[in-house]
Amino acid sequence: MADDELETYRLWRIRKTVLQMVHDRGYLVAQDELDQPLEAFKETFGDRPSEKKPARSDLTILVAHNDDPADQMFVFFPEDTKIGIKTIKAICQQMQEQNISRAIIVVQIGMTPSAKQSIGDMAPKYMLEHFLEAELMVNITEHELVPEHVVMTAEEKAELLARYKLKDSQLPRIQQCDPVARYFGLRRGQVVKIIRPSETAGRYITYRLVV
Amino acid sequence: MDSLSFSSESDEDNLFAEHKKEKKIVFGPGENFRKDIPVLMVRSGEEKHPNDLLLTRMPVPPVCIRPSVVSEVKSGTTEDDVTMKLMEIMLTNDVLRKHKRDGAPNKTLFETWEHLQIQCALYINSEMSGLPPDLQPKRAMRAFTQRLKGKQGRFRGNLCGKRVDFSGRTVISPDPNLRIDQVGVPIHVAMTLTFPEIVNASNIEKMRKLVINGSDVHPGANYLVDKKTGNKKLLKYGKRDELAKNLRMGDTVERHLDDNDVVLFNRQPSLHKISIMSHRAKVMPGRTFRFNECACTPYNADFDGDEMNLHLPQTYEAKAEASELMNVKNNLITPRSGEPLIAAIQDFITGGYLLTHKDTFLPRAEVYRFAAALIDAFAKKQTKIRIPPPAIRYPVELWTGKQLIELIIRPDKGSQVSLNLTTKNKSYTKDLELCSKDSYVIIRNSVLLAGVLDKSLLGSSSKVNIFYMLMRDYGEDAAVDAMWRLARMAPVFLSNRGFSIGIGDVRPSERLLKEKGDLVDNGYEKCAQFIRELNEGKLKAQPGCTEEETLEAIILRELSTIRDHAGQVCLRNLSKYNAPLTMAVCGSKGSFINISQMIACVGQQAISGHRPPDGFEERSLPHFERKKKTPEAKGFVANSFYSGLTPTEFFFHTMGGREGLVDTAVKTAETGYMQRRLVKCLEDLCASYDGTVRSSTGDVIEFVFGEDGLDPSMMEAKDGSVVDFVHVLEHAKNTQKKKKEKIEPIALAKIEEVIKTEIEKKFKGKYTHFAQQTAEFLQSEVKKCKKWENEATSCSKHEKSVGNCKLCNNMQAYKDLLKAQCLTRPQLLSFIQLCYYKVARAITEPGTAVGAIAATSIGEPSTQMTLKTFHFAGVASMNITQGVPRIKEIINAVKTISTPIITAALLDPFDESLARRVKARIEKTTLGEICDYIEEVYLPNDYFLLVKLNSKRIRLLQLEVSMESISYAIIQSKVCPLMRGCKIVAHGKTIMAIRPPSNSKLSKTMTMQMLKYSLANVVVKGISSVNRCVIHADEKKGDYYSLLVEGTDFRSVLSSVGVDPKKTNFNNALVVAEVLGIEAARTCIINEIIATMDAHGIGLDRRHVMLLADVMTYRGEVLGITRNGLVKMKDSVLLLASFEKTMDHLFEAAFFSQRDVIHGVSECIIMGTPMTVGTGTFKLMQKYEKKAVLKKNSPIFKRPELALSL
Repeated sequence: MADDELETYRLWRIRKTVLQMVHDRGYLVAQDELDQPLEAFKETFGDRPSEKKPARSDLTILVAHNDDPADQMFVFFPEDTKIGIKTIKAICQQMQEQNISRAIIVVQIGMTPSAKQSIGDMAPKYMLEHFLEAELMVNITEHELVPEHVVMTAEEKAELLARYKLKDSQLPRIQQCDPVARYFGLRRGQVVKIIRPSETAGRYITYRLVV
Repeated sequence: MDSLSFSSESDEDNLFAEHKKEKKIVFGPGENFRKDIPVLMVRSGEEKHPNDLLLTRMPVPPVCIRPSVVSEVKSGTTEDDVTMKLMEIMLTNDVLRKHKRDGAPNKTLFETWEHLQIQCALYINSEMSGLPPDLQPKRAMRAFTQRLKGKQGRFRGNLCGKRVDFSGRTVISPDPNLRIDQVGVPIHVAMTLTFPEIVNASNIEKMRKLVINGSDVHPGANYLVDKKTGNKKLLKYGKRDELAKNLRMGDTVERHLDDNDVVLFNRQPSLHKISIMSHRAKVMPGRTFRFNECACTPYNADFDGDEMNLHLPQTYEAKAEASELMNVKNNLITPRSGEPLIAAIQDFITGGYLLTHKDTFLPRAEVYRFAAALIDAFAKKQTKIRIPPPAIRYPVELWTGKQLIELIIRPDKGSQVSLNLTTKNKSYTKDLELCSKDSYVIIRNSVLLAGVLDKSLLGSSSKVNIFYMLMRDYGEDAAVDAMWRLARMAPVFLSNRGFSIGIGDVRPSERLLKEKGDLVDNGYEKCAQFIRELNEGKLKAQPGCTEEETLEAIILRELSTIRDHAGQVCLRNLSKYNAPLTMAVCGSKGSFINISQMIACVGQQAISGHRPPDGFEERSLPHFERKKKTPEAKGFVANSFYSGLTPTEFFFHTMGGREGLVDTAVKTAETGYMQRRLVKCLEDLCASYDGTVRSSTGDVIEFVFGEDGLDPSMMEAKDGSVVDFVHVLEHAKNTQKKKKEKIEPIALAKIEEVIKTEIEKKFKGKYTHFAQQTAEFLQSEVKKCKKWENEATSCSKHEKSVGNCKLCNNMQAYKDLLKAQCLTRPQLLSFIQLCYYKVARAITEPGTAVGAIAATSIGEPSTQMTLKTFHFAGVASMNITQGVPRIKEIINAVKTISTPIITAALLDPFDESLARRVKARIEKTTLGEICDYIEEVYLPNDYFLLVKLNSKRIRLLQLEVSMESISYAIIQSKVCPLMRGCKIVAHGKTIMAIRPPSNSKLSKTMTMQMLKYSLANVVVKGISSVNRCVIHADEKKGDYYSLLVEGTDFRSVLSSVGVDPKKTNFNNALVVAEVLGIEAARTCIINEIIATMDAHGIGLDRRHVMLLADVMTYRGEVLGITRNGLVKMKDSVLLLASFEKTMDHLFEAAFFSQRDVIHGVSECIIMGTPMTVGTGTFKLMQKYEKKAVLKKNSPIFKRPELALSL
């Protein structure tokens, strides 16, 4: 219905951002996939989304972590515009079959409240994250206002707290639902190191605790 | 609250028998709670129980809390409101008891009971809401709640601000003879304010004299306190001689304020830390406080009747702290931007300017007189003043005024002060020191070689100020002394020379009148032309504007040029001896606009940025024809203040004047509140010993203050960096004494290496960023030297320099001259040493209250912002809120700001056609805008709507729409529910037929009508929330295009095709936080505040803004500096209670048994303890053996023998 070319472009950009995101989280993504141009995308997936070429399900990605190949993650592109509990169930089924505990769902328009609820209910066992397509059109970490965020390990965090004699509640905070925190899939209690360019000092490092 | 306790005494009563049986019900549901289950209410403490929330006993304060006033007029006493309420409660209680005894009907009983209940509630809070109208208190009563809350309440009125003793207040007046850090105190005040001096071996003799003098002679004393007995003796009467004789070490003499005592001097409103400074007292006759005019700026004082306060610190510690931290000398510069605030003003500048004029020549007698003005009779050590040799020796000895500047900077022969400065002043044109206005100032070795001194060299807010330079290079004393010398010399010179203003100064010449008349006529003609064009419909509208708006903009521009040109003409025609002109040129008072308004033309009067509106029917004033848009009918004042205003012009002028007055009144209230909120939020932030900025609870706000740990008040360069390299190099080059043997400059081949090693040696890896900047600067200097090295040493004829060739010698000499400019080793070392010293000095001291400084630095300048709300930012049709409203918006973290603008960068910023295409994609385009017509068609067996698209227009706008996409947009549209079921058939390329759904509940005609009207509003392309999108060409960068989008949908703009998402910005921090995260929001806040301040020409160090932005974002979400945000930032009850909603916070704290660790500034002030910032940052730790065992006191209510029988 809507412009096919625009739709292909959107899908290409979304997929690209997702790949970058997955890559930034430390999962293995081939370099040529990361900088796949629009033409190559059209070639592999087709350029008529209205005729299911590509269908959104074709875009599904499965990646393994750099350090631990057993740690795998799915990225789903469900077809329905508003995701209900059914879709979530189906996704879980698939994850269960393949024994994968993490997944990202790329949502077209929105989610029903019950679907959101069910994601929360499955939280410890199946980690599902959801992003709106509109959010993934742009990779926000590339924006000039967004400085570099680096996720710290537990040891690094302990060292930081010891260096400044801090309790972790005394650190500046970042919310779990912050766009950048979601991009990196941060969890409560983690600390991100933020390296920003500084007008006064050249470079400045700060930290934020995820809450 | 429950008042049942009052009525539960009568056991026999039927009504209460039931309650008696079921006592638990009386206490409410909480009684049944099990003790072992933690309850959320009443949190801390194991003995607490929800029942404790029910009031079973009335608190009755002692009489001193509710004093009764014996009236002198009428008999009896006036009781306090609280007493009255208590009486009422007791009365009601009695009535209730009586009712019960008498067996009154239940209805009456319950009514009385309810009345009692309400009385008890009103006892706590007399402004309780939700009462039935007949029970509402008749007159306002001050119950406990009312005593606590509000500005005059206990918290803000008595706990946060207390009345003090040892203070005075009187009118101020100027005295240029006083030192900058002195304050003249009237004898009367000096004899009232006392200081408790402890008698010791060194001062006993002096104290004896004071005691003998007693309380009626000035250097005397009012009381004598015996050390042993602690008895206080009045020294007004009695045998003072004897008392003096018996004076012992350790006694305390409450002596009069005397010369050189440390006093605090203050003027309200105290908006920044330099509104209160410590001065040295100078007791003088008269009845006013006096101080040097140079100290006016920080207090924002003038002498039109202002009053100021004086406080006398009462301990030696307080004296020491005051004179070290708050002394005028140590506060010459404002921490807001590092610019000097205390500097020459008004006449001192005029004097300095006229003195340094090229044509000022002075005979010996006058020079001596001016030099004599520099003698300070009160100085501890007299210095010799050396008069330089006269500039002209024959036929008469004459000195130039410039020579006297040397005396101001360095009068003493032995002084080490050697000021070196090269700078442009305010009116610099070109050609360096040969500038036609003599505006290139060169000072070498404290001698003024060229240039006139004006506001930029003498006045405040300028970093090339000579006093500022003296302070940076030679310390505060040198600066303050020089300033005092100028303050002494300038008035003497000025009164000798004469400087006055008269009517002749503002009388326009014939020529000026003619030129002005031509200008006005031309301008009017042009405006008339525009109006004609508008009426004929020929006026081309600017993008995003209607034709009327365009006309207004054009006319406004035209008229402002008339005023400007008239001003220029008038300035050209004025004599250089014209007094207002002199003052405007040197910057001491008034501006060029003021002059041209007096002489030539007052100009357009604006009301909120527009021409006066039509307050009468279609006209601004009833003197004009309706709908007249000519300049004179819309507030253009062609007359000058000299020629006098016509009645209509006068009305327009008062309209503008009124707006100004209203603005000032509104602004003071608004900025005052803003300042209060800022300070409350930031007051407890201070730099700690590890360099972090922390709140009182230890939360880290910044890991390094300002990201580099430097103090904003120590920024020396104009651009806000620590060191002004150019000046330091100049200073190093000129002060590094040339030894007798000639020191060769460092060989250029080696120099880079030398620089590197020397910097490394000095900095030792510290301040890496700064060291790098230093090295970069030096390298660039070396490059200049290298250029000189390639200069030829011989003329074109010879290959090598030949001794007897004149040209060769010239070339050689020229080269030597240039070579002398190159750095020698001592110079280089001195430069690096100075840079290191300066940066090390600039490190923020631990304990600095950076938060309070940042808050006042942002709040104080906002009071000075003229409330010009709108400011045209490049594109005429797009304006952005500015000034106080904008700052308020940012600080409050308002969700929907008044002018949201997204600055969209393009993937190819040089491609104009791309800009147009992207604009079309973003801007909202409705179907109505791109079609020729929408028609209803009724056929015998069919009915539909016919839409014809205007393909030409679509092409022109470069809209990327097709029939398909338009029909899709119509079906998807939510404008009208009918559209969902429409059937759309395209006929050809431009015509489409729309058939409404057949299942509509409306009649067919209605359906058609409804569709027809809503179709025009269907958005066919673009983002629906975007109303306007303007292509902005940056003139500075050539054809550099970007888009200014008026709308809030940041995410959609970011993901639009053709927009560069990396560089696209939005001015609403909350939305940025939502889309790009908290860090981006922080940067956004910083950029927005700085941009707003810049637009008003207010210098503000970015470190302050960074701190503010960090406070607003450190919790992970954007918090406004409002009561809602503050609650999320701080958890101290006392702080919150002293801010706003006092009772809400207190009740809540009681409810949850909150604790307060008295750590913040507000809490400490309330408790009267020293606070934990500044000199209170550190504590003395000591080992102590055993914890003292304190017996717990049981409250009186817990004692069973005192308990009421319930």
